[in-house]
Amino acid sequence: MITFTDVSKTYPDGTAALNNINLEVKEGELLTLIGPSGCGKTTTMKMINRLIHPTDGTITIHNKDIKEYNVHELRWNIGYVLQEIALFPHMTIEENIAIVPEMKKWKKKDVSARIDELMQMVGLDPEKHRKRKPSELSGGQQQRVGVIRALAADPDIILMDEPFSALDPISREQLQKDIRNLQQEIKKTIVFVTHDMDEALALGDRVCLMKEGGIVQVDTPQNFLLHPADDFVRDFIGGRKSPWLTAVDVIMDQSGSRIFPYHDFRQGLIPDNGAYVLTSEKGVYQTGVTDGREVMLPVLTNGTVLREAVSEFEKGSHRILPVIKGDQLVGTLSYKDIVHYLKEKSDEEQGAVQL
Amino acid sequence: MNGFIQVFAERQDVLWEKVWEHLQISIIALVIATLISVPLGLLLTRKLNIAEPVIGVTAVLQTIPSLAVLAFLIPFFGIGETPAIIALAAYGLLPILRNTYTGIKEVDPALKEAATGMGMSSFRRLSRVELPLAMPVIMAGIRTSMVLIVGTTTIAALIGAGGLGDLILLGLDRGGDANLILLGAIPAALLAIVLDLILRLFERTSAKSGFRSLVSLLVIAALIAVGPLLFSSKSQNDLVLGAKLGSEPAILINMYKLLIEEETDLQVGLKPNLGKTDLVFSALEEGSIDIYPEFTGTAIVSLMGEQAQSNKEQEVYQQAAQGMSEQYDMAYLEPMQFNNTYAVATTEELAGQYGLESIGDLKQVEDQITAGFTLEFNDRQDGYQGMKEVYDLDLGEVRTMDPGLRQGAISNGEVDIIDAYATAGYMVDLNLKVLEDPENLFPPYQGAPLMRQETLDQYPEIEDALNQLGGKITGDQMREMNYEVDFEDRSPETVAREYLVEEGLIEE
Repeated sequence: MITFTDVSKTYPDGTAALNNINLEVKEGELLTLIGPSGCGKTTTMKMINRLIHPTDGTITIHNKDIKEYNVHELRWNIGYVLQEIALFPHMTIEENIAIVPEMKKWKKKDVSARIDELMQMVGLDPEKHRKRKPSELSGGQQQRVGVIRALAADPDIILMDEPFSALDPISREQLQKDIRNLQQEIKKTIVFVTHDMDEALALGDRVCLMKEGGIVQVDTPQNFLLHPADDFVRDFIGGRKSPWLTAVDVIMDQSGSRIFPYHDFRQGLIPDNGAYVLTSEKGVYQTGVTDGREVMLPVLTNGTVLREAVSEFEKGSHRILPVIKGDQLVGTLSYKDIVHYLKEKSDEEQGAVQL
Repeated sequence: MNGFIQVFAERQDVLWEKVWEHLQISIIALVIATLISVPLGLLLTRKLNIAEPVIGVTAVLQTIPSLAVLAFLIPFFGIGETPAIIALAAYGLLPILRNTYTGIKEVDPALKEAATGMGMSSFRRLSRVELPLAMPVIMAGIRTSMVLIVGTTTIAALIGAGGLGDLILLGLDRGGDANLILLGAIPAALLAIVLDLILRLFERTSAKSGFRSLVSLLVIAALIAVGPLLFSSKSQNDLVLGAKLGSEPAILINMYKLLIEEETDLQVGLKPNLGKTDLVFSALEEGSIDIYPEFTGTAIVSLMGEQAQSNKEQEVYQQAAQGMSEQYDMAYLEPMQFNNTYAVATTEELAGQYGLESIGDLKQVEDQITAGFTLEFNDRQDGYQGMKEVYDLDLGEVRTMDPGLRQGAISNGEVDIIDAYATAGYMVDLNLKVLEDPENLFPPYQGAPLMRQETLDQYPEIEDALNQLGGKITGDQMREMNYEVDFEDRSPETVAREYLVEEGLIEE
């Protein structure tokens, strides 16, 4: 959907910010851009809404060069969330949210309905908060407004520039969860810049790791952990990542060896003993089977971290749990998988499991 | 204090009129300054490379003394409200311009980026984000300018713009009459405070509505200031008579007016208290005024840049009339009798103590006495510079001061001798002794009407009307009339009329 072709950026003083970037952001995916400071991740992102102009190469959206779009209309269709939050302090919450819809000449009634809808979506009571000034809200609430302001005019693309880095850890975790849920609901194409590897791996459908103006690896979080492209990637992940914070989709069994179609179970085609998970024909999780009997299992979403998954295991006596992404079953997680993963990690860290 | 209340009660009517004039001039100047500075400041934030030079130019405008700006504008705009408003507006530019520029520039860059990133056009970003956020800073600039302008407007009285400065000038001219000065200064200060309060109210609302409140403020201000002008049509005068600051010129132009209106059908307007020679003469050349009384000695020394070739009154007049005609194409009618020359005066007490009779007698006490001279006298060849040569004097201490302050200084003993005008009213009041000038250092200073030749050609009848005063009015009579205006607070018009009636020049 967004395609970077041989994009470079050199500043007038000769410093090169980007060298020949080629990158494709797919429709509906959340791509996290990460790398050490000065790697060019923010520059890359700001080129999409033309805040920064490439010196070479082209960027296309829907196969059309972004230079051919009217710059204002292009930006109205690209939501923008800033690190500094940057709500306009002289406007109320509703005025802040209404900015882009108003520029797009929406009807007043529609704008108002949209404001209510969005505020409810992120858990802000419209009655109570609509007329308030940003300064009357907490940091977490402000950035929620920052996010829905970007969503207000229903853009296809949303750019987020380290949106949660200025927040306290609790608000940050909550907002990350919200974004993950939101993304599953609204399916926008999101480019998310962060310097926090955990955040990049937890949120990204894919992660793009950059270094010195170039791309080192673009891959799924699982592959980043399982198949780091080089030592730089390994250091970057390893140095920052406790195995207990790894998302379950990295650890889970993706072979499908414990997944069976539901109708096979009805026809008695699966073993009598052992724990399995059943799916519909469309790959939707249905139920679990333990020793031949149907059981209700708690469901793990793909971003759940290991620590939470373990406590889920501890609550019940299940041997296996399904991992879903959206409505699709993507794998299964068992104690065996966890132990295997932790062992692998411990080997890497010379026997010391980091907590 | 009682004195002040009395002055206030006596002059209440004049006061309100002056307050209104003051308000009008100040507000028009402020509106113009705002209309220039705010858009210019906004433009500069979009053209950063020319910002500093432009702000520098306005800073230079501000460093020019306001009086100099006024004097500079007279050849182009004459006297009255127009040049005053132009000068005041130029004066008020800098604070508004600088605050507009700074206010917009210092809006949080993240907010600017958010606005741009959300797809606002440059204008929308300005009107919806930058202006509202910069509004308090811009309003602070407008308030600073307002205080500057309201204060400086007092000086505009010197070029006939009116306002509270008239009262202050009058007070200064009357030997630093504190009550009169306060009557002008206190309302000027109150005016600044009240306007500041009003602007502060607007500042509060402006944080929200931004652009709109600024525009509405300007519209309201413009209506207040210009509204009355639209309804009051000024009566057209055939001739406008100007006069320098002081009671004597004011009395003289009232006499001119009475005589011209008695003898001819012309309508005459008056502009008294116009400051000093340079300002009034520029106004005459430019055409804002048509006639003003000038001294023969001043015409020769200040206007023609020559020295008097004689000490005889008639010869000096001839020289002046001829020079003014040749150099400036101006007509100089017959002079009156009194000679308001420079004089060196001291108290009777001191004169008695040292036996001082003439200027030369000062030599014996030159190290012990302090002189209070006007800046002009101190510097003139027919003033202190000449005294040093002709009488071989080198006074121990010379303090230069405003003309109006000399009498106060000598009456309370701060100085021992002053330069004086021979006919000044305070000579009577303070009982001062004029030291004789046996060497005739000071040329005769006889008053006579000065006008452009074209004025005389257009209205030849005024020559006969004004020449009736030729050779009239003795020094004692002039001194007495000045005394009545300065110390008995009678109006120059009444005093002028009484004299003319007494002399049988006009009907009662």
